[in-house]
Amino acid sequence: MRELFTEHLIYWLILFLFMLGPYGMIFKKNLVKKLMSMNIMQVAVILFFLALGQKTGGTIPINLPGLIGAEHYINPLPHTLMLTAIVVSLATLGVSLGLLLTVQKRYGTLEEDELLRRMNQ
Amino acid sequence: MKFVRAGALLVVVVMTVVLFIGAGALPAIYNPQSPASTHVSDRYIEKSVEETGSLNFVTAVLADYRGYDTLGETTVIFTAGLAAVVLLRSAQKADSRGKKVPLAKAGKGMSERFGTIVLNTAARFVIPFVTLYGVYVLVGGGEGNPGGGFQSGAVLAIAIIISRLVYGEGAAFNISGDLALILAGIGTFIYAFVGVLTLLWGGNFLEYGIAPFLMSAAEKHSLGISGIEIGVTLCVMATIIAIFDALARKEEVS
Repeated sequence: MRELFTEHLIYWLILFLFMLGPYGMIFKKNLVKKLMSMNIMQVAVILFFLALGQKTGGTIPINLPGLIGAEHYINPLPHTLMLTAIVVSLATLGVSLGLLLTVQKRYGTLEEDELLRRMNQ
Repeated sequence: MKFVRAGALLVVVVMTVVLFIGAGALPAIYNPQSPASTHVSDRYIEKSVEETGSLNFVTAVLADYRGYDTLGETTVIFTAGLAAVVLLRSAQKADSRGKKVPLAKAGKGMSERFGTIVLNTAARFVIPFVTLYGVYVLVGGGEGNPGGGFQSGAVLAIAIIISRLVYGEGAAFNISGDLALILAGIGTFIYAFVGVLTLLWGGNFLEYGIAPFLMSAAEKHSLGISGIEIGVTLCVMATIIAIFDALARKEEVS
């Protein structure tokens, strides 16, 4: 039982966070809430990768004098990948906010039902 | 409609259950023997200092081993900034046709709207330190501190956004949206240009070791990494400012 909590609990918490994303994107009617759900999903993916990079006995992936050997440092690869992913998610957030502003300007609403009704008119 | 929603709920629940079961088969967290931290990661940690001269492994992987990948990421960021600006500007042009916005009303910062000394003083103290920290993060990236181009760009952009928020579009410490787009392009160009330079010198794309300078290979790599980090910083900073400018201008005008 103890192994279960120390080894896999973090994955389940991250999965729960991840599944909030699809849930929100399907069931929330407001487009801004859908966008927020998408961002929560992105954060979960980032956390998942960072969790994979951890090692027992490892320190930050910066060369320290006197510490030689791969077992003393955590894995730098997930950090690298997620570093770019964070900034890219920021850029996509900017684009999607721009799209939402355009939709709001044109139809005067961001509620899905109301939006569909006004588009069909 | 009811059935569609029930079906969607079923899909979400089934997906959750499948993922939960799958997560049990993942390697235990903190395990040094897990596949993620055995193969290529050890190579990066053991060899990157002598090969690239960068004490920070993350910077070495980002700007050297995976430099081509990072060029793609930088281009994605630049393109996204461009798309956001084009999207918002075109919409804005379409609906402000005919009516003119009084200049005095457009682009007022918070300090003019609320007129508080607290805001002005706080901004005056915070902005220099944020800017300095941004530069420190950039310079420290390859020198054994956490940092690098992406983080530095974000922090520098925050400094300018604070100034924009408090003092408005007429702020002295400001980069206008048009200039920001140009800077983002220049940043991406610097990155690609370093790659093209190495091609001209007869090497592979982003192969820094080919540079005809009188230095050791590690120093050449270090120089190349500094070059593309500056490009990345410019691109990220300018893109964030351009997106902010496009979003905020919209709000200020209407």
